[in-house]
Amino acid sequence: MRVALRNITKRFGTTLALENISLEVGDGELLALVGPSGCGKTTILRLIAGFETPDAGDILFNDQSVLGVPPERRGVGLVFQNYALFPHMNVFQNVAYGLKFVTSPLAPPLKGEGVGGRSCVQELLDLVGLKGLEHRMPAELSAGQQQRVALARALAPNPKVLLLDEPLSALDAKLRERLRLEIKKIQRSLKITTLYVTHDQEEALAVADRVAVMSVAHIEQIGPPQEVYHAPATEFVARFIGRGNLVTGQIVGRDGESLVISVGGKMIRARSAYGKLRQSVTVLVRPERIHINQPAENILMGTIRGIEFAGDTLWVHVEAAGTTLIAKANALDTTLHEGDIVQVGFATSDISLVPSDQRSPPTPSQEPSQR
Amino acid sequence: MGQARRPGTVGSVRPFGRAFTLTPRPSPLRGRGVGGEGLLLLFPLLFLVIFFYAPLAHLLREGLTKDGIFSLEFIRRILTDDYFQHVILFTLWQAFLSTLASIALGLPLAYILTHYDFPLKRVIRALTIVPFVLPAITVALGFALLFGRNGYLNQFLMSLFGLSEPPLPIMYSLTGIVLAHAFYNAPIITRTVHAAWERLDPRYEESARALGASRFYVFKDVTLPMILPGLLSGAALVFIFCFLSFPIVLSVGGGRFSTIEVEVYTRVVTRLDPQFLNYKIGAALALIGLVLSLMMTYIYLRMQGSLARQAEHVRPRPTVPLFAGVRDFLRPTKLLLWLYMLFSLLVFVGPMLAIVADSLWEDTPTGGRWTLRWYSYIFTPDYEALLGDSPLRAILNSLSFGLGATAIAVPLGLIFAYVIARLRWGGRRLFDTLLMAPLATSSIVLAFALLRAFNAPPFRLVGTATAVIIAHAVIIFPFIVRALVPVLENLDMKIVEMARSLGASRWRALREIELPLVATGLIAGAVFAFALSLGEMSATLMLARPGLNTMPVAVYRFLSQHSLGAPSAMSVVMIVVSALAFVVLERLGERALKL
Amino acid sequence: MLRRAALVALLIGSVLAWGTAFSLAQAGEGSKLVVYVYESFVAWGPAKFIKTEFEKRNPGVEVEFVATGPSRAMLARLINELITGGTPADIFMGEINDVPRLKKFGFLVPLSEQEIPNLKTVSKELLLDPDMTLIPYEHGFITLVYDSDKLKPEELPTTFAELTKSQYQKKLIIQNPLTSSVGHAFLFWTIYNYGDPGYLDYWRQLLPTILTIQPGWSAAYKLFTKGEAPMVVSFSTDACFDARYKPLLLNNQGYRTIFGAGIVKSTDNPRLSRAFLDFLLSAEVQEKLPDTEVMFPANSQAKLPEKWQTCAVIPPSPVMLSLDLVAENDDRWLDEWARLVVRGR
Repeated sequence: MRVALRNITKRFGTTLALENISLEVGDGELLALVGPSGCGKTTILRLIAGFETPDAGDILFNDQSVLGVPPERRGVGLVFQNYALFPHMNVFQNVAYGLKFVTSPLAPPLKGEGVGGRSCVQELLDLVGLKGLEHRMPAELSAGQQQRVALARALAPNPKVLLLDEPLSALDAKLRERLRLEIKKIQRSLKITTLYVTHDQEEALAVADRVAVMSVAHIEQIGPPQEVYHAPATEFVARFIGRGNLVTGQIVGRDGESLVISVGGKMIRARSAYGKLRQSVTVLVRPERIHINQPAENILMGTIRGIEFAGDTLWVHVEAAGTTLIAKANALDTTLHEGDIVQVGFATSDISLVPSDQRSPPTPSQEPSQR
Repeated sequence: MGQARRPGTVGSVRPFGRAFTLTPRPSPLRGRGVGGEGLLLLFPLLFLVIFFYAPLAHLLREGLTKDGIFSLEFIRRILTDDYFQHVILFTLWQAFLSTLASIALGLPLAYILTHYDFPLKRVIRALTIVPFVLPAITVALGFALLFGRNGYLNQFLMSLFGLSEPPLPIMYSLTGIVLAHAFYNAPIITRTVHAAWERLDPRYEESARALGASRFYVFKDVTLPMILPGLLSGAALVFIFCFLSFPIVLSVGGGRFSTIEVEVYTRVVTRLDPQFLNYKIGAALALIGLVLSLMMTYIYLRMQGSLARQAEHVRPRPTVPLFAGVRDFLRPTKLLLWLYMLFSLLVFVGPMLAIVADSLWEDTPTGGRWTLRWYSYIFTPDYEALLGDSPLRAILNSLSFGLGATAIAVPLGLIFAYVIARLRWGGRRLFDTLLMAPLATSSIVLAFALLRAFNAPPFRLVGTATAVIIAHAVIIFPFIVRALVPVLENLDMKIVEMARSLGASRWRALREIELPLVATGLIAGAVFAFALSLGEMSATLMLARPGLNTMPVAVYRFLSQHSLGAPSAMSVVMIVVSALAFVVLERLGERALKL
Repeated sequence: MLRRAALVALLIGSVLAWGTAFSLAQAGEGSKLVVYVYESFVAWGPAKFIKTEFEKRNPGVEVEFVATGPSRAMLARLINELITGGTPADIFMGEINDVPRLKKFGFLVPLSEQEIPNLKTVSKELLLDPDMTLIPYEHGFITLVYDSDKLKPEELPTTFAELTKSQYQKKLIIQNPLTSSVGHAFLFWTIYNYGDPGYLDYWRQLLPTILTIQPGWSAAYKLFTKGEAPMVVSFSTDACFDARYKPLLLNNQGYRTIFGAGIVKSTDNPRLSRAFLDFLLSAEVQEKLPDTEVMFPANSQAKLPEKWQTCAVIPPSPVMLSLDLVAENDDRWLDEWARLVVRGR
């Protein structure tokens, strides 16, 4: 099942929630929709599920418009952040609920023995690792178990599209990392077209085939995780995805395939085919590409202003060229101390030029990934 | 509820820090919290014992004694007499039907209030509760004017279809009783369901729809089970009120129906024989009725409890405009909605409009004409033999009795609500049920018990304003308790602990933290109680003497007069005053009046 | 803590005190005569006139009419008060059929012509109570009354039996005998014609004819004049008030009803009470009764208004059960009637 949004616009009252959005999710693909809260990503999901109607544009399932189709006939599976497990039904009843509405022979329940098949529910509970909990009530389950029930329930009627709205945000960090892998595994094995809404860019990168990054009402970039990470299309994406050093500078010359950019009075070289003389540009260097006290194409002198210890990693804050750069260093490196004057270096090929944003979206609130 | 709206008292930490941390003031009673609260509880309890439990027990005792010794003979006589069996069963049956009708009328309104947006929604929501506080006599009047054989509706239908007989035999029938009860009580269903529905996370319903459930199944499988505690608690309350209903059964039922309360009234009040046989049977019947309604009160309180547990804090449910273009207007579901609204308009607004129309109309030999004379009549300060005083006085009396009763009921209700909300003792619900006993006692039994108690030393109060005020306070305080208990239960005790850790005494924390936080709930309860006091008639009629009339009593008096305009005009004043009270309440920001 | 508790007590106490002060201020000074009377007497009758005139003649005296319901409800109120601790009532005004009940309780003072000089003006046929506890001041005849705009003379029933015909279904409004003296009298009238227990069979057949049973005459008559039903149980003199509403004599009868006033034993104002009763029987008040109460004055010398010659109908055969019979059976009849009506069988 391919899902496509064509030029969707949606307003709530006077606020513009989505402006001319187009998006396509391929058959069996997992697309993560990531963006700060309030950017409209949940609205996209609700439009696909059929709970909202677009003011303009079309929504297509396999090239067929579903605009007139009510939610219960769209064949989508839905998992909410709070799971919305029916509190008055036990686990089995929750998972089996969707099966009682499967009447069409064209959409048989997942490997079931017919409508409301017990074995289908059992299989699903096996799949999500909840065997033996059929008779528990939702309130008696841990958050992680509830999440699995919600997933099993959404999958039970064999939906053509799976919509996950912040499915893991209510869980603690460790569980979240484990479950996102499981979700991906299940999604792969069922080959179900999936839209995964999250505000956590790390989760999006980890789980998705492709990532769509949203700012308010707009999609900034769609692409594979690597592309979004390494070649952000906009400054917004660059800021939102991953930890990065964004530095503004001015193009002062060209040297073969490289541009010469002045940053805080220091010259650095970046590989780029574009760029006009005296143009202001934003330069992105990922922390892991910055090497301290090692030979490199570009070298800046700086002072260590702070060191964060993060287990296997040290995050080193270096003041250089009038700005603060964050560098990732090996935790075993004991030579670095606060106040040390160091060389920070990076390769010309590790610098990306980020087009300055035409619009000026509000600076995305980099929400902490642990909540 | 308006949390921390008063930064001066709640938000600022400074006064605590300064007054208590730096210069701790030893309090002799500090650390004796429970004992102190116990002492505080003493006065309200004493008040209730003196003015409610003792008089009631005194009355009911008659049903359990024969020749001065304990005997179940009268109870047995009632339970074995097939006439009384009929009366008891009919009482339950009509209450059951009335509850169903109230649900049928109130539920769609709760749906509309929860799901749609429309102009003046807040005001309309505030006004939905008005029918509940109207005196039965006004409701009966409105019903007779609208639904009577010669009422507006039948006249209209007769002239429309050229009929010779009135087509709708609503008055003087069980249908009429049930409809009038629904008029009264559907607002309660609307309120309780609306409150529960608004708190229901829409994602439950959306999950079900995504799973393939149609709107019908979503409602049946998900929405209904989840709003059920709200619905059931409202229904239990409605059942109690219909079970106890007395003037409606008599006037709208047309005298052909008898309920436990009607039977108690005729036996205890009007059919006294020198052997007091009827009296004892009536007392025994009142006891049976009280036991039944207390059982239902217990169920109601249980439902309330489970409602409080289920309460979740979620974003307000999204609403859509009710009026969205012509095409939407003609959709089948919308058409059903319009049909319902038309019907509920007829049942809710119709009787009140009929009263308004009647208050502006004067019959003349040549037909009739519009007039304001009834209003000028009821606002004159001239003596009226019928009232024993001026009609204007009745309006003023109503207001001052209402204020007096509220002034007693508020501290009473506050203290009890506080104790119930904080009590972690196993018998809490039983205690709560007993406290709610005034709610489970019909006003006629209560009034008669008080009449007897107030007619003997040491409280010879019959005929005084005090008697009326006390009776009103006893009748209305349970509503203040009910308005406050959920607020106090939801109050995060950590806030109080925080205040105390900053050095505030238990008392200061109560006064400066808890009370401001429950202020809106308290105001809501107080305004509601005040409106109830305005509408109270049975007890006032029995306890007041001429010159101490209230508005409903004046309506009753005017009704025995030939001219129909005056009671209608007085009823309109009453409707307006209570409507104003509720609109003001809404403006104060309190919308979820808990019942 | 104690201080706060005291504060709450003080608050409640002060409200109560205020309420009491409020009532005392209302009560005023001077001696007061409290009269318990059925509501229609203050709504229609000469209550205002009596109050004004009597207070004028007895300076410093205040007359207070207490009329919280129909006559039998007032009776119940009086009895309830008397058995629980006393009544403020000095005078009770009610219907003669309640004399047996009142006598059983012994709450009224026997009176004589020496005490009430005007008693000698009262027609002897009205003095049915040998002890003179309830002095008649007006009388009349219970009949049906019909709306001449709704029913033509040839459509009217002429006997009790015809009244049960299906053409009169839901055409009659009656009063509840438990609370209304008019309803009480109507019940007795059926017993007079059908005997005991035959009356129960008659009522069984009559039930479909009854639209509604109202607590009192006032409420019933209001519904009648509002057009709810074309027939009501009322008085043979009603046409004198409005010619549209004419009496309808069943079996050529009318059931005699007599209203009287008595003095409550516990009164503190026996002299004033007697003066009040005497005033009630004076021609001055008596001649007001036809126009206000629409009843015949008990004072045989009182002049009737001119039009009463034609509008006031005296039934060819006035009937009445003896008070002894009433005394013996009243409670049982009321009980049987109530059971029948509620269950419809």
